[in-house]
Amino acid sequence: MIPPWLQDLPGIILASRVRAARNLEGVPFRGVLPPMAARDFCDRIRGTWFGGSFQESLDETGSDLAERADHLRVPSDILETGSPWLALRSGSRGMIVLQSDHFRIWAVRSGLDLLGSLEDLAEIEPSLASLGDLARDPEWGWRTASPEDVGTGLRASVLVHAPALWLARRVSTLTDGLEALGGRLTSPWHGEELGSMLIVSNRATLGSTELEIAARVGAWAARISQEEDRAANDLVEHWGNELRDSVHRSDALLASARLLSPSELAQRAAIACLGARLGWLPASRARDAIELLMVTRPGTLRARRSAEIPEGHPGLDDLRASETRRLWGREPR
Amino acid sequence: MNSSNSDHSTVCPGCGHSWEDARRTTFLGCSRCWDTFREPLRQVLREFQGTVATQNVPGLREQLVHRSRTDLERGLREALEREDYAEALRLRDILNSGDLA
Repeated sequence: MIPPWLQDLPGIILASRVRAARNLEGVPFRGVLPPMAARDFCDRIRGTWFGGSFQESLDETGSDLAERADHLRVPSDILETGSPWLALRSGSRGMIVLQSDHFRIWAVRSGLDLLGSLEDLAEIEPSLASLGDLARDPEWGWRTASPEDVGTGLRASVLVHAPALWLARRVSTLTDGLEALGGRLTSPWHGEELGSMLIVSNRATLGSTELEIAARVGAWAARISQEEDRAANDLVEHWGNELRDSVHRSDALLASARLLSPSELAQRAAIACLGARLGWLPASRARDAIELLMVTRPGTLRARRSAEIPEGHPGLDDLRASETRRLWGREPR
Repeated sequence: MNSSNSDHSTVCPGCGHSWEDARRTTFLGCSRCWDTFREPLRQVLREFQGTVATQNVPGLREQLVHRSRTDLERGLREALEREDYAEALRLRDILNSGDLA
């Protein structure tokens, strides 16, 4: 399932997302709430909003969890806990209920548009008050389940695809620089090591306004985009022939491979995407490469194969390759 | 949450969570824990957030409205400077309508 914010011809900056944590007074947080009470809580929220503000819903009892979880922005760390949770979504806005906090409302837009995402968030936020008093601290703003989120409760993040930085091994330098500035660079997929797809976000949620946080994260993303251009130019300048050869080899391999490991797919997709941006492959291959990285997630592949296959097992390599051939076999535009 | 500077026998009256529970799970039990464990949390915030600054700012919607107004006022000044009166009138009407959300 491809998210609507993935543009037809994506640039380096793919999407801007904001999420805000909010909690009700007098209701225990997820870790303390007994399972029955948590289920009742989720049902109450579903009853209030589903069909009105939000048209899609998913909870831990869903039969197609792995495929739809990414689509509804459900983080992988709560998928298998067994505790009740609920995800609601409408277009590019949504809410996750009982992921640490009672509510995590989110909005996402294509490209670099954190301000637009904040405007979307501001439309959802007032309706939360209809459920009861929201927990607010006289000194520190919104009270959250973790001290990491207190204050604004806001995590502003920008998804970037930076194949040149990754291939040139420059991502770790960026990580260190961002840490020093109060930001962080993570994989879009919880707990995975950094690849060509990166999320830049704020670490601190206290002491700044939402607009200040969004402006800061936006500036970091713009800087990463510049660094990606610079890395691509350096690669072309020093190893132009080798890179070009590698781009066309990757193009051919993605079209015909019978077995593909996750690391080989990541490498080949990154090179092909870079080649498309450099004009050596059709421009639409940049989008195909990003789509490929999304549709071949281990959870998604596992869901299509009935047998239990652990993550990283070569048993998924043939399925990964066939998905890749199907996608890469599309006529480039 | 590494702060150990707390009375270990204290339990939150809202949820029964102790500071030891919070340290172990890195999560609080309910919103009242913010009152119960205020002092150790102050120390934790210094670590996690790098600040214990007071978060006394307008709500998100108010911030966005204020920003829209500021942008429109700047646009109006610039339109007048370049003698673009049609644009100035348009921006003035939006500002006067009060519908900036």
